[in-house]
Amino acid sequence: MPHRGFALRHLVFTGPGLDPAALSFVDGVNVVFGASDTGKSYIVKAMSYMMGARGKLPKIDESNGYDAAWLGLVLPSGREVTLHRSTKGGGVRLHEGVVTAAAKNTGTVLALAENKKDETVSHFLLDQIGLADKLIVRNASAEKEKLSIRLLAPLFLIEEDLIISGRSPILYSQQHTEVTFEKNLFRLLLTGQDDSGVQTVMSSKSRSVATTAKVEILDELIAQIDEQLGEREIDRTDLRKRMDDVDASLASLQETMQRAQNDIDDLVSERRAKADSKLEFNARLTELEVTLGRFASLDAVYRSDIARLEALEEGGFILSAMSGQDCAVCGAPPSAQRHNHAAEEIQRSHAAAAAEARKIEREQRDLGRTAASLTAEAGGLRTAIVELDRDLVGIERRIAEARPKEAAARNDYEVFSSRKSELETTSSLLARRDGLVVKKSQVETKPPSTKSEDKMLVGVDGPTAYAFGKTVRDVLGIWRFPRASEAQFDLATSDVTIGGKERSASGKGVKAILHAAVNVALLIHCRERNLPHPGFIVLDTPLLTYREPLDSKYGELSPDEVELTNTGLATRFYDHLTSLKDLGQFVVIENKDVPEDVEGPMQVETFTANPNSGRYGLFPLRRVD
Amino acid sequence: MEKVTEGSPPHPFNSSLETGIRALVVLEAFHPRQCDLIELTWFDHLVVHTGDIEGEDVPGSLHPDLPNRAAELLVRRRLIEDSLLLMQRVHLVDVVDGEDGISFSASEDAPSFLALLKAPYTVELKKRATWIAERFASLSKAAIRDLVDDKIGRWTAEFQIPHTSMS
Repeated sequence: MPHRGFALRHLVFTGPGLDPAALSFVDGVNVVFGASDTGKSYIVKAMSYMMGARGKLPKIDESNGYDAAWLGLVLPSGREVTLHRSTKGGGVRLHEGVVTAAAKNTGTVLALAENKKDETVSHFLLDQIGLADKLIVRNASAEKEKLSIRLLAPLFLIEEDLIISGRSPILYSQQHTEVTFEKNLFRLLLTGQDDSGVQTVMSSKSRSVATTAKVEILDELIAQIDEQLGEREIDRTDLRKRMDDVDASLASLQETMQRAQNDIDDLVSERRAKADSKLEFNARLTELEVTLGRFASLDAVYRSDIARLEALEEGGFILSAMSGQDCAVCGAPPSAQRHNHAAEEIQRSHAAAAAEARKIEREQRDLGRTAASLTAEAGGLRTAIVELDRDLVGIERRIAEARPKEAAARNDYEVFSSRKSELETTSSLLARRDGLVVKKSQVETKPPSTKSEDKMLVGVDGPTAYAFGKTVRDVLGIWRFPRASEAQFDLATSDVTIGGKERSASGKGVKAILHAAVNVALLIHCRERNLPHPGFIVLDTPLLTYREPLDSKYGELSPDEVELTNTGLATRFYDHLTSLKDLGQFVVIENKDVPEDVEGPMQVETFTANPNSGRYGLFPLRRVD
Repeated sequence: MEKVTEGSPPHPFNSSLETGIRALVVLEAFHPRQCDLIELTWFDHLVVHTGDIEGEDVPGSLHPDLPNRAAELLVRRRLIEDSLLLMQRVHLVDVVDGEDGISFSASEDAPSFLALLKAPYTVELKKRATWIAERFASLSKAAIRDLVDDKIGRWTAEFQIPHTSMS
């Protein structure tokens, strides 16, 4: 959500039986122009008073009888309210709407100082623009102060004596003790960062008690370490060198050990591979031998079968021949014999035997071929196994040679390793002791206030200051301020310089316009970066340089004021503020009328100081009895 | 008699023809001693497995030693009976009905027939048959039975678990 500011609607003084003294304000530029002593400067002071930034209203005769003041505002939320305060001081009441009257005891009470019951005016207003509860460091001990509207007011409600002052627009209080605070407030506005994260430094009294206790503890710790280190003086350079040597030795031993281990690993895995092969070969060989044995048996069977079949063939043939003859017993011819079927059976068996013999012979030949190939394979395996055995013996011998090498390297490594850990212990003890000694010296040395201020970042940093300075330069450029391009924001003085010349060294009128430029640039800077800003600026006499020297209490013009007068700066100034109406509201209080060539639109209220012409002043002219 | 199915000849091994010739060889070797069916069953086994018989100068078995051959002995009886019948029909075996049952012997034609068989297997068979006859002819039937029972009993124990290797 974009940050927005307030817009002023009216400032009204009322009193019983008196005509209200009223000023109304529009968005954009409002000019209140009038002669001396018409209550112009009273306007700025009254606004501060209404916002709770000022305890009292200055006493002026014209305000007699006016017992109440009303400041109408539009809040950033668009809500219209009126702050109502007695001119005699006291609390502020908040009424809804832009009003100039209210029933007694109505509205919300806003306190001036913090109390349990009521919210303060300051908190209410700052909360509207996102600056409530901001903490700002105000001194070297980093004590913090909560931002209030009183502290912020001089950056947007610029009274005449401030605008012509040689002091920086930022360091508005002109108090040396406030410099830190004012610089940090400026940083808050430029960056949006407050100091809530900064640690407040302990007061010197409690610090000295704590210091003694700490020093005691530190001494004790140091003594303990000294005891562990022993009495012998330790040469740190030598220690460092020894540690480096041990590290180098360890690295080389590590390598040696690793190499030895790798060698053994390789050999072991080679041995495993060979043993596996041997096992596999042996299994296959056994299998082959079994198979070949079976084949031999089968071959024996084949041989025996063939012999049997030969015999059968022969026996069958002879028997067939015999049975084909006349019966040896009774002489009957074969056709008359009853036992013909015996001959048939014999013949069948005979034929079958012949066929079977051929089949078996074929089988036997196949078997022979297979057996020959298996025998060759078995022979190959036997040779391979013999070679494996020889390899295994070789590997075994190499492993036996490698083991002592690895063990020796490991042993050396352990020796150096324990040496290293001893050295490291000594080294870390020394480091701890050093740390403790440093700590002790820090505790003992009470930090000088200026030193701690150096450490703490006060005010804005260089880049931010540069960026702000550029905005100031741009503003002055638009106003066609002479040598505007040489304008810079100087961190040391927190003020503007032109070509290296400090603002404080200029004439009053030049100081005023440069002051106004800083205030306007701050509004632009905040709005461009979406940072909180009250959203309106009231400038009392920024164009002092255009005064009539004879009429003015500030007298003759200085040379630089003359130079400035000869430019069209006043016109540019008004035109520029008019162009900024979307960024904020401006109230310019001036002695001189607005130049004729200003295009506007702007609301101009004129105090004539002439009873017979127009409005006399802020308050109506009354006959003094 | 049993009918032989035509077109599907019996396997030549242990056919009636082979078994018959073997029985004839045995009977001829034992001649004039006669043998009954049980004895012929034993001798039919022993003549091709002479290695099973203990002693000196025992000829090697004519058939390769194979597991479970003891079982052969038991199924062989019927086969031998058939083969003797075949041999009787071709007048090579004589059947003798005696007081102690049926016995068999080689006929008068047997020597001339066997003389014609010159195959190496048959020659070996004849040698072993002769050896067995020499060894057993003088023994009483009861003595032979004891010896064979002893062998069969031993074989049973030996071959009950099939051998993994034939060697």
